[in-house]
Amino acid sequence: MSTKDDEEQLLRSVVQQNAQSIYHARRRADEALRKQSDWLRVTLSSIGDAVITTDVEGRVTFMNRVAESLTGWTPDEAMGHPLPDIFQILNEESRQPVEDPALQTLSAGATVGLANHTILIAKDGTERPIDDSAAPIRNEQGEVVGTVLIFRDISERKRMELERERLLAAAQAAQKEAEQANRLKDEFLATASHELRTPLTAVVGWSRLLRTGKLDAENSARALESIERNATLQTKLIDDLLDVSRIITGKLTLDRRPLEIAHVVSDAVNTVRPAADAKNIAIETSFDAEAEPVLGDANRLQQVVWNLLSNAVKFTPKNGRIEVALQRVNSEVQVSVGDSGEGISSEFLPYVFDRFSQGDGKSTRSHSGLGLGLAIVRQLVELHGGTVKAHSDGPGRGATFEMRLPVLSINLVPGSKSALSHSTLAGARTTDGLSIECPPRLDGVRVLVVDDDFDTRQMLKAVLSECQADVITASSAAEAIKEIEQRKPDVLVSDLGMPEQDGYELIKQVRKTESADNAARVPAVALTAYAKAEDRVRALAGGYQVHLAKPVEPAEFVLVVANLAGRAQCS
Amino acid sequence: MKIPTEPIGSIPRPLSLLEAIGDRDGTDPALTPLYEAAIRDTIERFEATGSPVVTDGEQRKYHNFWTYCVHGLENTAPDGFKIPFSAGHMRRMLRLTAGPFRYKRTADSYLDLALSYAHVPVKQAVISPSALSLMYPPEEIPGYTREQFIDDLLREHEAEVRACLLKGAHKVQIDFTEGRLAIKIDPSGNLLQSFIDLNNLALSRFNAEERMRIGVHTCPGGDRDSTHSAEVDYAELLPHLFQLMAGNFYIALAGEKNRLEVLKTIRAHMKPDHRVFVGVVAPMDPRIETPAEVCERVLEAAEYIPVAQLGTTDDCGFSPFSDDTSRTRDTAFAKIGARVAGTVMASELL
Repeated sequence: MSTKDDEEQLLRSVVQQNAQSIYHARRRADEALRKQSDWLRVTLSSIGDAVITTDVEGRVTFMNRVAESLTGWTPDEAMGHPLPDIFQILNEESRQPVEDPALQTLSAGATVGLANHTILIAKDGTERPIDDSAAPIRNEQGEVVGTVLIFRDISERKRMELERERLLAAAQAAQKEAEQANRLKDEFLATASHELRTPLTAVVGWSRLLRTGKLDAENSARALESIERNATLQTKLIDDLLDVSRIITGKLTLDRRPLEIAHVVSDAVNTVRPAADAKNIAIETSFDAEAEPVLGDANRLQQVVWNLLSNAVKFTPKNGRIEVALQRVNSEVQVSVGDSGEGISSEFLPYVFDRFSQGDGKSTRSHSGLGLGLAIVRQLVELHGGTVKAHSDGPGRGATFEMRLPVLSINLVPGSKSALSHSTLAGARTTDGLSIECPPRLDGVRVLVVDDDFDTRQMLKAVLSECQADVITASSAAEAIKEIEQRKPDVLVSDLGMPEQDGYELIKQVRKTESADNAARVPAVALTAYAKAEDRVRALAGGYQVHLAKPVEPAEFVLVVANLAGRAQCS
Repeated sequence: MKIPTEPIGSIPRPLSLLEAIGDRDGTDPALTPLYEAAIRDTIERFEATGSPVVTDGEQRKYHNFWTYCVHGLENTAPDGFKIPFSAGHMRRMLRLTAGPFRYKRTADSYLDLALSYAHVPVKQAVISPSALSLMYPPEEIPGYTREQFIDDLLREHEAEVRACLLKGAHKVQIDFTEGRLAIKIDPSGNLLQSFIDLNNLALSRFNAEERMRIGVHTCPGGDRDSTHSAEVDYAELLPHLFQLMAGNFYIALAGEKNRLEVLKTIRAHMKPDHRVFVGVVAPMDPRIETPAEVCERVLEAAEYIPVAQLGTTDDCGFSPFSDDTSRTRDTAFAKIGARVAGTVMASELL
């Protein structure tokens, strides 16, 4: 290395060797760059958002799987296409095309957040709401060399937003409905309080007058008649409330049998005719002879028709007219009750069958009642698989109620109409208090009446005594046990709700003693104000043969006792 | 349009400083006041020329622009390569004797003082990785491969440049004077390409914004009124040079025999994001250029280089090797003054 040429040769040798190492270093750097690029590509392919990149002319250079899924274009198809070919977007509201985001970004040289409410139209025409943004891609020199577009399907988010709005609206509607229901309930309670107290006023007033002993015979009879009528009215009110309760709780059961609906309607008409006559309202009937039998509970259907007719009488002024029609309409039997009465406003008409709903909710309203009648009507009709509708041309123009029931689908044996249940309620219901046309004879029948209420004991004793029964009374369960042991009654009639030892415990002890003594079981009637279905079931399960709800019709009561004592009604 | 102008870097050291260094170690703390005085004077005189960008004149590079960062390393020997110059003398590289390779000092350590004196932006020059790559000897160093050396070299260089940038250097200029030398040694261009590759490996560690503050300087290696590779045609170098991933290029032009051909080559190969600072004064020329002369050279260059991408500089440092006293400080600053004034004149005309 003593000469200049030697130095240069040596230098050349070193540089050549270095070049090899530099080459390897560059290879490593390139490999690292390639791995980074691969990693980036894999990352872009893996992320949940759609990614499309373009070159500086806005032509597609890359798209990941999500973008492929949302646009419907495969990467092979999309490569090199102008972005708007692949990424067709509209403004959701105007339906006008949105400017190419790649061009927007390229011209702005900065990130562009695209307009809200953007709709992406896929290759197959599918439309999706999307969120999107675009940003420039810069090279190492900082030059913009393309754009990257990131977007996502927000259909689910939109759906959730709509669902939230729907739920909010539903909640608001429910709240409004609850407030309305609450208002109706308050009105109902006020009405119920009034309606329940009104008959009591007459009962209490006349009772006190009677106790003075100063009423003459005529006024005494009027007092008794008034007391009875008002007690009956209150019984009806309570029955309505209980019916509603049963319907609400699903505990109302129907005794459905094939029946001639014409009989049901006739009975109902006959029932209300006296009231109609009192207002000089004419009831015209028109029965289609071809009306087929239906499957129904005669008592409940009569309750329905009676309710409709009572309403018609109630809301029809004197000298008015009521038309009752029965006809077959296709596979249904239609009973319509039309009147020339007050009519129903169009505002109230949709709510006429709602519970606690009355056209006139004011305290000064001109008609009494709880507003439950039509609600019960609809529930009972629907329980029969039927429908009921109300029509009215408005206030002062009358109203028509149409009930439709499905025709009985089975064929009855010809000539067997007698097998159909007559709508008339069995005897006692339609009899009039103690004036039973043919009261059963209970002479020789010993009946033990147990009730902690003196008046009730006395009333029941009087009723049974009318039929010559030998009546023993007890004011408690303990007293009753003694009487049973000593007097061996033929029939036991007991209240359920009594202090210290109730009617359930009484019958339990009676049945236990009978079993222990191997003695005959005394027939027992539970006579109670606990009138719910579960009370009835509990009483019967406890050992009573019959459950009667207070207040009981005397005629029905004596018939039940006679039946239990094996005494038939007179023939 | 205002045309930027920047110095290359080195200014002849005050004779008092050179005498004080003498045969002593340049790191002797006793020299510190002298270094500081030289730097302060350099910056003051730079600023007196109206130069919008200054350097510390490389006053603390007490040997040269090439080995300042490795001088004094225990794992080196003085018997490295000799770089032959046209005047007949040689400059000798250090030879690496063992690994690992680490810088003894980095150029950012010079910036602190310069920044404290300067009232205008300060530029800092660093040596290229390709120049230092020649320290590894022809034979393999036991236990320290050439590839390990390259990795260490790149890491050290990156750390030095990054530190300069972080400290606030206006520009970091990588001295790449071995470019033409590589062609001279290997006319096939393979050696030059390997240098380009190595330097690009280093530059790729910086982002685009950082690279806009990094430049590369090339010249035929001025020392004692001679060069090591002036005979190599720029046309062979420049196409490769512009492959470097730097934002700025400082190209000696004033001393070239055929400036127009060089300008044409520059025009053909420069890229849109490049700023090309052409040399408008020649440190090797003892004559002091006039501002008008400089202005004329700028206008000439502007015919080939877009004005927005044009800048002016010196062809080379005025004293890349500290012991080079072929130019005086006065001459250097007079030439710098001419460069600054001539560039201003041209700016007003363009």
